[in-house]
Amino acid sequence: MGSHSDSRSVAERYQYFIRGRQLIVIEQKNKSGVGLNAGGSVPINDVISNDDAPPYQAPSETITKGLMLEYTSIPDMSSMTDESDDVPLTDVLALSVVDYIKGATTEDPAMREYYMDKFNKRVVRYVEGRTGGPRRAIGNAMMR
Amino acid sequence: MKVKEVMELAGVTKTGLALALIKDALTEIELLSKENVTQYTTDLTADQANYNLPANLVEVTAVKVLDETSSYFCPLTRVIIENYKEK
Repeated sequence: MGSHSDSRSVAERYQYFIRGRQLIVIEQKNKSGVGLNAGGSVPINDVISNDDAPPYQAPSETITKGLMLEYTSIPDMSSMTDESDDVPLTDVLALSVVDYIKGATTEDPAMREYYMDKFNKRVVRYVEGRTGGPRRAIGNAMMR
Repeated sequence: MKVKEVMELAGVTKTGLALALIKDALTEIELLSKENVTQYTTDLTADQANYNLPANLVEVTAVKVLDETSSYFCPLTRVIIENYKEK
């Protein structure tokens, strides 16, 4: 675990972006900590005398199990190798797979479009069925 | 639902072809529905900005860093940096 004198919150210090298949986590340099009596963590020379230095840097501390990535992923299909195996989906979505296969195997372009459209509509209907209805964003305790 | 049932409903007799198409369909469904959400936690390492993304990733929905004071993971803001400089 890192001990850090930075008084900024995690959200203020760190940001991220994605480059190809890499996640880049950067830390904004603490410019407010630069000064005669500030006792900041960034050397004054980094900010003032070096014009080429960017206002960000790699994270300055190590946090064990401190980086969480939340992502959607393709389900594990390694166990599906035979006719007797289960398709790892609900029955509703399994029916959309039937439409997809019919669309992919037909040679008639019109029928392909028909089945793929049916596939898309079935998936969208399934998603909307789960997330429909009014929703309300909940902020932090200071929001009125 | 079993693979065999899907094959019968779709009128496909070749198992290998059916399995390949089911896998394609699962990928397409994931792109549309974003149903299979995964959380992965690793160490945030000092002086390391680059982290490899998982091979089965479809879309990043959030990146969070642990706030050691509160023990909560705080979501980070996604930024665009032109001419990113790195050491």
